[in-house]
Amino acid sequence: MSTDIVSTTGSSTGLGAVIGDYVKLTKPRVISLLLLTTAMAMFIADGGAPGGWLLFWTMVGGYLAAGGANAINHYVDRDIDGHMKRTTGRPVVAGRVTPNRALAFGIACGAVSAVILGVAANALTAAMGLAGLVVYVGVYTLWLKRSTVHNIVIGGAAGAFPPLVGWAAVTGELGLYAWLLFAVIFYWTPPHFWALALLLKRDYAAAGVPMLPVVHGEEATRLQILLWTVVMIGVTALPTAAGVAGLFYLVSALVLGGVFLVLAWMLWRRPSVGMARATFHYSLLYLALLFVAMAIDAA
Amino acid sequence: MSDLAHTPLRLTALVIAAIAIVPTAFLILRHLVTLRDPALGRRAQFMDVVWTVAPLVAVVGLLVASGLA
Repeated sequence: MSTDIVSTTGSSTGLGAVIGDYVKLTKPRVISLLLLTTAMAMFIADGGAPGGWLLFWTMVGGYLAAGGANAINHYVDRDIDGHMKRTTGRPVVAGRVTPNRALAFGIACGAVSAVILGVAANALTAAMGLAGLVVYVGVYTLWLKRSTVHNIVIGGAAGAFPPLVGWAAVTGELGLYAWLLFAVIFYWTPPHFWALALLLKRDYAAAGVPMLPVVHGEEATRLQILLWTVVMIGVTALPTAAGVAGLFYLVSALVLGGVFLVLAWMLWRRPSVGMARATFHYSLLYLALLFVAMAIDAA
Repeated sequence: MSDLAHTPLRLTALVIAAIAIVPTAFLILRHLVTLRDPALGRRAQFMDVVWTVAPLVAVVGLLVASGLA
């Protein structure tokens, strides 16, 4: 409660600023990649372009589900966000949005997303959207983030739900291919996030978050990034191994994965901030291109 | 989906996946074991083992499931 009183003093002024802060609560930059995987999963499941309205409403519902989870994350992490340079300007920490309003906004976004996904698509799609929210808030943010170095490995499952949302919206069920898309993102998360953690090690240490480089050091983290990158490349071959994707996809996955592996190898052998940054940025491009390659292959 | 044994592309992809996943999962496990913190309580150590092993078992399961599909 006392946080609310303090926060009120720094509240946003002007409708534009208020809306801007609520949009920031949803972390739109993070969600853009999630939505791409949702959309590509819809193209893959459909074998072409899905219906325009279905695509639109699934994107809206997907955004609100992920945005709601992110807003609740702002509420839960308000005590540590102030210790990290990267997050000190967030609306709740900066006092522009009260914690309770951020929480209410997050819950409302999640509820509206379930209605939209349930009506526009089906109950399974709504359930997958809510499951992603629950895993992100409950498993990652509340349970694992502050308690184990494996936080982003297990918690990474939250970011893997968007393709399940897209797949369920088109087919109404979740087959092997859908779960392989889930797995691709799940096993992509450790090398992606640990590259970022190398860059933000001091922030995480200041906030008391037991990220791998904080607890076990940078050398161990770089080796884990390399090893998980190899596993991830293996996982990306599984859609073709299962007979649901073809040669174009497999070649694309191996080429894109090969570049990732080279970066991870260089980060391990010649560590630098620049290499960590390059690995992190490439990981984002990698996931986007991989899903586009899957969609092209399925068309 | 076509029979794995009669589909060179599927078989090739499965072999690539197996070569990448199986030995590397073992290396991850071995490395993470060396990183175990003896100062952790028994419950925390147990959960540490669970979080370490679960994703690696899952990926081997996916490998098998993909081969059997």
